Amino acid sequence: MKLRKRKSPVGQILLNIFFILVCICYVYPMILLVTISLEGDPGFGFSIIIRKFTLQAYEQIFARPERILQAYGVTFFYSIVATFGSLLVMSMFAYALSKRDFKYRNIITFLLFFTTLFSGGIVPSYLVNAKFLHLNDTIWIYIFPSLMNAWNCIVLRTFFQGLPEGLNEAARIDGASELRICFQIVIPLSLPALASIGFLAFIGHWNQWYTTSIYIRDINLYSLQYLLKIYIDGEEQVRAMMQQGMLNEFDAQNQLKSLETLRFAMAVVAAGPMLFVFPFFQKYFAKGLTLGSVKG
Amino acid sequence: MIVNKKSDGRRLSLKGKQAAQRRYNLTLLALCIPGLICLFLFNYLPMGGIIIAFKKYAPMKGLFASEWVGLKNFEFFFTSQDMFRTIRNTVLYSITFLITDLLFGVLIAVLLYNLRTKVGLKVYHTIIMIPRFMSIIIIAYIVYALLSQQSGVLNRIIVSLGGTAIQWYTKPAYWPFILTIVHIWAGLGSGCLYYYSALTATDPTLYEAAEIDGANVLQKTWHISIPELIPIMVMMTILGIGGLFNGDIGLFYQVTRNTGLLYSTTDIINTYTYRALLAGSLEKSAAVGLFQSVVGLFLVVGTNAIVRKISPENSMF
Repeated sequence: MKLRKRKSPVGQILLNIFFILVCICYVYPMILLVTISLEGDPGFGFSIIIRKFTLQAYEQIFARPERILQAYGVTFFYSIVATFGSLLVMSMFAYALSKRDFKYRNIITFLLFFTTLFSGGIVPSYLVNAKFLHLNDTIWIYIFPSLMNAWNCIVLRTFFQGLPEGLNEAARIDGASELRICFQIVIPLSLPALASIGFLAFIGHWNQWYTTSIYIRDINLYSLQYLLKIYIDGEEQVRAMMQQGMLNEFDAQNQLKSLETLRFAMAVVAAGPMLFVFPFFQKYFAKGLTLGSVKG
Repeated sequence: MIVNKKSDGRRLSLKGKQAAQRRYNLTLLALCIPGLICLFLFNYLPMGGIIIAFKKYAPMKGLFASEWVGLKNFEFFFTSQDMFRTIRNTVLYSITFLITDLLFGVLIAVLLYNLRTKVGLKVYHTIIMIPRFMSIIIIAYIVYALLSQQSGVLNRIIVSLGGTAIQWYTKPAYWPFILTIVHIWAGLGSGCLYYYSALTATDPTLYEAAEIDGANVLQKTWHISIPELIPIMVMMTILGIGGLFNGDIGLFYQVTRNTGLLYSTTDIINTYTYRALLAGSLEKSAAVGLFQSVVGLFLVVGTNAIVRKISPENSMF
């Protein structure tokens, strides 16, 4: 107690002021996204002060919500399936590798580890996925190639190895098979670790645009973020139309400005739900990131 | 009779043990099969596809029937200006990010650790983590909101102070700073976590002893916290050097809005191969990608070999 009192309150106040300033750098852009999407008079430029409040952009989006709902549905579906699928595949894999007396342990560990050192690159992957497996323009392209992740496997294996050996022994003496030990003892005991890894993976799937841009041409299979990216590119289309004389400058400027509001409204619609969900999962998230630093 | 029975039983149990052992290994192998199939299809099969880098790919003929052209696809890259530009950008950005990640990660972790209020700690860290939950596309929107030539917040401030608006998206000289700031901003929350969790694992008696000896906050930080963090800093640096030849495509492609005018300071190997793939020049993209993978492999193996010599417990393999 005595020691605590010696702490200067001035230091703590300065520290808090510093962090409040840092946090403003994070909160300000979020507010900016929202206010731009609500601004009815974009002539003044972007600001966190709304001059003319309007919900027009949102009305426009929700008047024809099919596209964005479709993208939400697709993204949610593949994110869930890919996350749970990869957790299953990886825990089975990691369970086997966590057994020190498993005969093929070394060779399989090497096969796994080597993928972290060397990869064929995007083009050979493209050839295999699109030309050989024909996964392009199907929802499976989001799921199958991401089922295995070497780093996560290694993290899980390390976690499994850290579980008390006595549990396994006891189950074996009771006559439980390896499969039973894996699915009914080890995996349930590892739920916190699985939740952390799974949540990180889910975020990764939810936010991806890259796979869509390479493999998907069918607009019905666009991921949410890719749809958002397409909206950014919409501006270039208007500019091109203007240059080709299909739009006069005044119309084009107007169209660009209303498009701008619309695009930011789209960004809010696309980012919003995740931002509401995330504080609740932040604990798992922080754990997942530091789990990776446990050495295998 | 009795002796016979005994030895018989022992032999049987030995056989039984062998069978059980085999069943054990097969069960575990079976658990690995889905994962092994994935590794084979999505990691090892593409390694075979690397031969496209040495061919003139004709989609109608297929990969194997396509004509061999030797190193011609590599020549294209190595004799172009693009090579110097993309390699320089990739490596310089990686080194810059390595240093800023280290500095800011440690700084924020130490400051968070010195906060006395639990609530403050939680609120601040949650807020700093926000970008980790947003896609790079949203971050690109935010950067655009700040930098847009006509409506951007930054230009409005410059103009209201009497300056002239800057066309950020056409001036390559600004982008190394812009991208570094965006990188720091987006990565701060997760970057400081490693250091912060190491600090919370520090033996508290160290600090108590220092306090009794009259050490102030700065002294405690310098003599206790920082030394505690050095192993992780070393690990992060090694991982960073291994990834020197690799960049975050989202940052360099989306945040710059793939603006051609900015390529001189924003084009990295990853964006180069990505654009080549989208443009349909598969062989060239594959050649550059292969070059990148091989250099990356040497970097990882090399740094690891050095680490194993200096401090074996920190080496990866």
